[in-house]
Amino acid sequence: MTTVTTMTAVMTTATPPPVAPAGDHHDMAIALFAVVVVVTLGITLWVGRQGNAAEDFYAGGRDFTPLQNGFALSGDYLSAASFLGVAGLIALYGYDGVLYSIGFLVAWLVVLMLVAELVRNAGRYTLADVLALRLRHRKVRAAAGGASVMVTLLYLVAQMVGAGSLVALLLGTGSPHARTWTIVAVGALMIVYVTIGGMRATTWIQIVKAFLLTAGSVLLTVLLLVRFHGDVFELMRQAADHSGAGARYLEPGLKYGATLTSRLDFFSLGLALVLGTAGLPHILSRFYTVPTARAARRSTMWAIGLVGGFYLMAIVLGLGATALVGSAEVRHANSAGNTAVPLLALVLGGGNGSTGGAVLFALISAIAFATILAVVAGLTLASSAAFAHDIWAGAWRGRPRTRRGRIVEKPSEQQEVVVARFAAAGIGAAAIVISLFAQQLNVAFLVGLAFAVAASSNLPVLLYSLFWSRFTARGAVWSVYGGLLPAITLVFFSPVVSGSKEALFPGIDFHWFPLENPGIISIPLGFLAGWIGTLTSAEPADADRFAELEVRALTGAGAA
Amino acid sequence: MPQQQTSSPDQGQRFDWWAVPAAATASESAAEPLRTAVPAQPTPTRTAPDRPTAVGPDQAFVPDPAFAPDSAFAPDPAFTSDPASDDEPEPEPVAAYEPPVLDSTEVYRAVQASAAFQEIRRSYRAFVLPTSCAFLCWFLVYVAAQAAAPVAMRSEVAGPLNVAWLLGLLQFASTFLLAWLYARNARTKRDRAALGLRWDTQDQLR
Repeated sequence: MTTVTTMTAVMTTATPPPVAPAGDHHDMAIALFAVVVVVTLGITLWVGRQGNAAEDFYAGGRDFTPLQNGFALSGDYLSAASFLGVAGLIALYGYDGVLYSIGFLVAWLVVLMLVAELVRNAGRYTLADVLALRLRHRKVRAAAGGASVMVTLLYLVAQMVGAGSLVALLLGTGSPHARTWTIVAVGALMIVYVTIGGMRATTWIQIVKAFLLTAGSVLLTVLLLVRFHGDVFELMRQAADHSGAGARYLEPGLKYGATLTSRLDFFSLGLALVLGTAGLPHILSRFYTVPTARAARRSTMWAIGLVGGFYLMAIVLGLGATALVGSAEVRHANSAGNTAVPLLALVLGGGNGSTGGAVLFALISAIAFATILAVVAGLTLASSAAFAHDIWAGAWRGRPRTRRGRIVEKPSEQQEVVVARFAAAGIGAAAIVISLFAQQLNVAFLVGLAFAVAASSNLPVLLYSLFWSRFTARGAVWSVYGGLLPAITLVFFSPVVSGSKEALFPGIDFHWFPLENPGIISIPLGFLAGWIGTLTSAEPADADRFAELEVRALTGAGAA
Repeated sequence: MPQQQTSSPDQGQRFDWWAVPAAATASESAAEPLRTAVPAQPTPTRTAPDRPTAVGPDQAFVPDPAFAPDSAFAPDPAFTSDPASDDEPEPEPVAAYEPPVLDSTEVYRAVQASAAFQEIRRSYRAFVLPTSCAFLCWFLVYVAAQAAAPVAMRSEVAGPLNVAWLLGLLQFASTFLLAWLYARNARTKRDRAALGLRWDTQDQLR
């Protein structure tokens, strides 16, 4: 029953970090971590001066190329959970790890076909902008902004708690202080990136990180395939031999096949992954950094290529870790398999104690660290944008004095950006505090939950707005809350919070919902609520506004 | 205010009209607090060129009693009181034309009704909706098959490769293929028409 948790979880395990082989490679890793910090801070300070307008802060000036934004998209998307976690899952569970990774890729088709171009054309800075174009109601903005903050905060806490244990692991220290200070340091860095550099710096950090990640993966994959003379089948056979599971390693069921509940749980997770990506605020806001919808499409194509290529390499690396390191040792180093890739790097570089091994280990660890920093920065930025632009300026200060739907006397965009910078600091601080309290807890389920909430509350309202002419403001509000509340409620009463020994509160048991991921229930509920809300609306849909949205979304007329 | 657009550019010229607001937006973003909450003003400039295709030549400007010219062109206090402060201040290209006075709503309705737009929307939806259903079903069937048909999934295909691996790799392949097909479809079927409605000049301006 704990299956989905551990897998979503990738890096967060409440188990103490095991003793990794100590030695040179950790010292070198520390040095490279410092290099990562210096380089990213340099980028921030340098690019942060290029502009202070709202367009700069939220959208990076909208002048990135599709290639740059494609790298940035994949950088935002491929968290350390993907880099280390998916390969680790494959190292431990073989085929079931592959199964897990596929949902992350297929999700990009939803983004590409249904969302990217239309959102780029119809919105300015956030997801709620798209809705506000046709549903000029402050409640809609508040709902969508609130859901966005919720999604990013869930994801952020998961990433930061994960970062704490991961960095401690990579540095070879089990001390709780190391974790605490990692969380504080990562949080402080992300606040600096976002408040000073805004979207432009964040994007460049993503680009650098995605480039490093791709380069590191290619390097390891090539080294690995050279060692196996390019014979992938031989790699698979050796992996099965060293997995401890024999032929079953290459068959489905090692991880998710235990019971009907766990299979259903996986189905639920798969649904949340595929539909949730298109509702992730930090992914959606990336499309505003390119000038046109065509550029948004091209950047999504690049992202699909990079993400797909990355997961293919992750499969090879996971198999390689099993074949060369062995499942037992991978599991011994970290029960979730997070150190599979670094350990593989150690072996490929020449083994423990060799210079090559130490260099490769340090390099991969530093890439993982850069990955963590980049992803949390992207999340903080999206969260602060949703707060400042949607909740503060749109819903709260967007005075109700409307004339023909036109909102008068709103705060200026300059004020809005100031609020956004403070919001980034505030949200970052909140995330640090929550993560510090949660660091001993098993918060692995939060990643799956963030995707489930995005799929249940953000995606339905977005698709309805873009495609359904009769959709109303009431339908929008219902659909956001109708997806958000069930998702949160179901998770609260699920085994990840109580009633199992790996739960958030292992001591008590008030769970009645059997699955760990609420997607299979909450996603249909989100769509259903939007539909019912629309049908029961007193006021009919505004055909004029829909015409405007449709024309702007499909042609790019008047796009920001 | 005259209906300045009636006599102005026809087909060939129309794209420039679109580029204007975009350029304005790009350079003047700070002065335009919340674009989405404000009915776009500059865009109306392009009504006229578009209108004929929109509702048919006869109805070009009075397509519907609801859009009587007077109500459409009479200065609306909300819009004309501060034409340049709240909304995008018009940069020099616009100065060449009359300030926009058409109701943007009317414009969007007309464009929406135009054959060109209908064709763009049709070709977009005709590709995207069936394809999305197809790949979502294909993915969910693939995931469900792990539980529903474990024996079939285990049967060998080649070497250590079994059906499950093959289907998994096919998911990768189908994702790449569909992404490429979508991009090609958009490029060949839709882009030019959408460009015709707006974009080309903007791309070059950037």
